[in-house]
Amino acid sequence: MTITLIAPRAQHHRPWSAMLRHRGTAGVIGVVSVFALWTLVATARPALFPLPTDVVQSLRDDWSLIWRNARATQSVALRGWLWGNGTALALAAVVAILPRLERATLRFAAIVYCLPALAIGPVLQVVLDGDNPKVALSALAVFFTTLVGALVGLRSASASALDVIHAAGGGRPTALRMVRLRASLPHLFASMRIAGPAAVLGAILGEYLGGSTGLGPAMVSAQQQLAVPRTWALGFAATALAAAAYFVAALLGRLTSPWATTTSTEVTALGERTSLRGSTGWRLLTAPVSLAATLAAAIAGWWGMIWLFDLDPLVAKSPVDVWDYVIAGPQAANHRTDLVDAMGATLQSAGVGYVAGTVTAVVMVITFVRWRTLQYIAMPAAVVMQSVPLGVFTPIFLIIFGRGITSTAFICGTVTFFPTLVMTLAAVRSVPTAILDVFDASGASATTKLRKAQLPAAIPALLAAGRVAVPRAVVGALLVEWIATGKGIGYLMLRATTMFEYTRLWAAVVVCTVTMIVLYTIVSSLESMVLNRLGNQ
Amino acid sequence: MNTSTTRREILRNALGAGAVAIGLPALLAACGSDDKTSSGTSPGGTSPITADGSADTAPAASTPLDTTPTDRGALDFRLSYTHGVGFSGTYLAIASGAYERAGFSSVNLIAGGPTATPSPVDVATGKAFVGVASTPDQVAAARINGGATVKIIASLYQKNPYCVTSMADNPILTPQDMVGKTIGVQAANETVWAAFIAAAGIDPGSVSTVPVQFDPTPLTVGEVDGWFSFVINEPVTLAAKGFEVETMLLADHGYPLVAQVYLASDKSIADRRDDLKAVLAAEIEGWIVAIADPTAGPQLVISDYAADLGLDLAVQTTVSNIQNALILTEETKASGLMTMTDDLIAGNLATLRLSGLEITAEDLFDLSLLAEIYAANPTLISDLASLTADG
Repeated sequence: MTITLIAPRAQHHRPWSAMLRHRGTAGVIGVVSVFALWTLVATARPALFPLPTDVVQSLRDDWSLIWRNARATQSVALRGWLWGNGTALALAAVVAILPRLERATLRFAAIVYCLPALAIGPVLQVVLDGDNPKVALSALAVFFTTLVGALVGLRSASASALDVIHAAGGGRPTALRMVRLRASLPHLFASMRIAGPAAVLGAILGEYLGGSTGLGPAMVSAQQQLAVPRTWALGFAATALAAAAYFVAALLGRLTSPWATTTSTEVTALGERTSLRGSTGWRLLTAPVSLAATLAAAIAGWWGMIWLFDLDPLVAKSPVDVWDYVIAGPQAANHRTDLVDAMGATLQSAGVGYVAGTVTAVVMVITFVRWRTLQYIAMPAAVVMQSVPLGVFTPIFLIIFGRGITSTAFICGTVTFFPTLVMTLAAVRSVPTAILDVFDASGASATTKLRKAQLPAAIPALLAAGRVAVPRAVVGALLVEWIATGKGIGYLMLRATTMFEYTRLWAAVVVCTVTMIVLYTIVSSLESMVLNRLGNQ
Repeated sequence: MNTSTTRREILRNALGAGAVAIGLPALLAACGSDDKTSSGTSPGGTSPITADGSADTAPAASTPLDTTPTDRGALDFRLSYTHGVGFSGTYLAIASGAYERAGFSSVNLIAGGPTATPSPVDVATGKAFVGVASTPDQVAAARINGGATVKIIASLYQKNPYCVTSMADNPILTPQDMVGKTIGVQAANETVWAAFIAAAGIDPGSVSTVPVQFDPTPLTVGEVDGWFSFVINEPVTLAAKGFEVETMLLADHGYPLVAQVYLASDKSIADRRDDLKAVLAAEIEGWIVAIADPTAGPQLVISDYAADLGLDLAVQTTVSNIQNALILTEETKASGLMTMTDDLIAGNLATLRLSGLEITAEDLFDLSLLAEIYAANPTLISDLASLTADG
């Protein structure tokens, strides 16, 4: 997978000061236009939008409240970030030494990534005490992207450097220590940029599980009190926290691995490619087998967790319980119909969201390639969009655009588009200058360059991003159902929780997770097929 | 209270050791120390009861329970939602030393939240000794659908606190007024809502229901015509913000449902009656204080338990007054707080049946603990004579 969220190469040619000035001006224009637009909208619909001045006033008046809650959330997010990244890195190191484990590890991590927070929240609450369920949710939000980034990174070490280690008699651990770790840093920091906002949003999600401190409960309380400016001020604090986490990782990446921008071109060996040798036909044949093996491992892991954590059967249903509910029991046929119908509705929303998010991302990439200045204006905005706690602003959106397809596309698209944008942009930017020079020399237009050189480079990235974006689209759809439509498998899970129907909940989780894993497998198979074809040309 | 070492605890310790092994000890320690100040163990977590001499000098005679204080250890107490005025009596029971006199070394309040597991889970799994659930349907569902052996041992609100709030210029005053309109209902309340619609004889297809969250703006701007909630929540907030609203109380339309119910496991009810009675007696003492002084609870909430939620004292005092009127009724004045008459029990079971929850009184309620408390301490009832609650 191209997880190269690496800075555009062209910056390299320009002096830092000039670039900063350029970016600074663009940034100021961006901020000013946002405020102008906001004031306009707030004047038109005062019942929905607070004036910027009111929000600034609230930021000042409620500063100590905002600060205390932000610190509480930051504490949870930081611990979640450390645990999530720590676990991901430890696993990546194991895989680096035992490469055979890579595919199984990635699949397993994907399953964990696909588990809906609503479903694992209760289990985490029963197993863990105090703040720890929140930390765990935050860690889970981080774990997968970092694992993928670290694996790609560890593999990106140059073959010649590894040969030197090998020739000198060094084994895999030595290679890991001396070459791979260093080579992986750019990728690592790239995925950690995504991890920062994810940890903050995961922490806020965790805060909804219970407690009276943190930005999550404070936002809910402000909403309940109709304290609109304060709600927005808290929302901005959460956004700022998430964006700060993004930029700290970006800065650290710059400082510790300044060579990142030059190595990006080397890294086009993607995803599971190394473990997917053989003909396309053979792979299509083995894909269901490996999928079945993954699912079998997941079921074993499921039982293992119940045994290991001594989970109470009231809350933690076993594979047998779910089997009875969906397949063997007297009501199984009805249950199946309910679950399949609900999942179908969810997939429709997810499809709308994925298309909306991907189209937005591709349009942005094309725009950025043609007019680079726009990137400096819009990229911070994209980071902000990624970091906004949706709970604050979705009610307004629902009021304006209703509870139909527009809102679904927007909310679900928002959670989907960012990985696609970042990965695709990096791929387009990584087209070697030499190739572009050929186009320039032959007098090709910018459009031709884009169409013939840059967009083809984006296709693998689009598919690679799909592995993160497709599960996210389903998660986004669950969110939409929960807050807007009251339909689909997301709402079914919510109702099952409140009605104490835990077998139904677990069955829904299984249906939802298996669907996501199947989608994930399809996307990765597509990815490796495309990569192989591109590689063979 | 449960001291046996489980597999889970061993694993938890191992996880801690794992963090050290990964090599993040300094960082984790740094955040750990952060945690003490920011995540607020003082309001949200354990409230240690300081032995400041008052306990030693106060003789046993002054305790309402005619028992010598025994050491009951720490109490894990699960709240139905995040900290707020809804738990005033609990806070005042802690602050007034009622729990300490009852023999509890500390009270660990486990707050709920928007997506928290329902209280019956924590009580059934033993994470909490006693819990408060917002409505009895949660307990009935836990028992019927989940096989959780928990029962209601006391019920704080005597009247159904649910209402449909509407804007004064588009009022909903009777159930029939809802036909053709859109009502915002939070997912957790949908069970009660469905029962209400069924009982009111309204075709469910003629009222449109949409899920809502915490922000009542959809009501003020007309996206929904009605808002289904507790009468102590959104209606008070909206009125405080200057909106003219109408409320239609379900209690006024023949749907009895108690709320803020205390629950315990069947096993505790059988084996640890004294401990449960000690909890309930302390709660009753606390709630008597809360009714006598409607501002005491809100003050504790704002200064301590929910200091970070930005609540307003005046609004919370209004909430406290309305809440007291749900607690102190003619019946409870005569028979004691949290008790239930046979009529009330029958009415609740009928309402639950409309939600599809078929359960007997014996399976859902065990009010014998309360009866024993009041038999032993009649002053807990006579103390109510001078109190009023005028919502």
